[in-house]
Amino acid sequence: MAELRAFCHLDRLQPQFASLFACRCRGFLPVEGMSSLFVEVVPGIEINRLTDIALKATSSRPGEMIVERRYGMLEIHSFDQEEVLHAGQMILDKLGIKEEERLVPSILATSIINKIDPYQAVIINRNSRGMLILGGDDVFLLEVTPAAYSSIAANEAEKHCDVRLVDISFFGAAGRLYLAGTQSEIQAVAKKVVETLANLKGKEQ
Amino acid sequence: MTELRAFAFIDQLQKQFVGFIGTTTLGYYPVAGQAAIFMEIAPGIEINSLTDLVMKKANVQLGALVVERTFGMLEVHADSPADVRKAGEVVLDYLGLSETDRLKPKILAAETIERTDPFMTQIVNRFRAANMVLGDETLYILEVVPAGYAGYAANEAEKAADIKLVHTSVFGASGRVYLAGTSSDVKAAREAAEASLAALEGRDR
Repeated sequence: MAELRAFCHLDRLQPQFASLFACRCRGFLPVEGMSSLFVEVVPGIEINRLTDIALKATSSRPGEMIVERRYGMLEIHSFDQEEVLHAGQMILDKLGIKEEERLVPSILATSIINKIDPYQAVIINRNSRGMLILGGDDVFLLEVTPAAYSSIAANEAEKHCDVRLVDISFFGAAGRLYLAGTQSEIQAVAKKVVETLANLKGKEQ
Repeated sequence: MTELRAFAFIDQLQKQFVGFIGTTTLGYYPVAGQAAIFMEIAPGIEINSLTDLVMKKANVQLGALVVERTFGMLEVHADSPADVRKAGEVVLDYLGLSETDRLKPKILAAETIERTDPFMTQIVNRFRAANMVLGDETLYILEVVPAGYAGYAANEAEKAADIKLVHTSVFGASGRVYLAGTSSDVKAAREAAEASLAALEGRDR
């Protein structure tokens, strides 16, 4: 049976995160205020079985299901938080494990770019799907494994700090997050992101 | 005979508008503070000859060169407004026209949508190229012909009000501008955008 990598519940999707995720996903579009669950497993193909269980057992809607080179990831969401939590429990039951048997997030890199050069701002914007970085902004960068944990980092960042969500990648070898804002907000968000990820309990990688 | 449709000189590109251009263009991207000019002609293919002249006679960078179904569009930019003015003069001299022989902008539609539904904003976000519109924000939509004037209107709106530039389309049958923000900011932006277009002298079609 599949090995659980990432498993994280986003209790309330924030406006920018919901919008950015809706741009990046190919399934049903979530909106602000919904509750969401991100799951990542290996081998990737096993995500189909877990999606089957989650969608048949609850009224959650799938935002994204991807089988990529190694891993499989699933996002489901619902206005009803209980539906999402129940779907998560059904997935854990199928795998025969507890939530704490997921992998703990491992931060591969964080960095802050002070007063970004306008040419760099534009070239990042070309590949990103969220808010624009403007020349002179401070920019926070995160790389984390498993990739799906970038979702909770972004959502919590938006809850606590006045930053713009520039881009996120939530599947693949590593998850990445780009945030832009003023220097003070970016410093605050850097702390919040690290704290959020440190609070997720699980197995060491 | 080549018809001059849009001819819009932008004295100072604003931060979000350069973000938009940089995200979408296939050419060199501008940065904030540079000057730019958008020109649109018919038949479309003739834009290649004009671009050739401009690039050989004026000290400007090529941002966009588009030959679409009916029209041709050219955007060039430079640090110095005088260089950009020169690029415009090269085109006017070649065509034997003066600036006011362009078409006068005609607004086909201008709508303000209050408290945009979040499901609707998610769909808008999937095709937009600049900042995201969030649920419950006020959205302003402008449709103008010729399309080459849409960038000018968006840039003037950004100068005048604290709005988010969501999307612009600067070539095609008509130009479009999507702006979002609070109702009062959007109202100020709308007034600036529409007034800037009304101030452009040109031929009636």
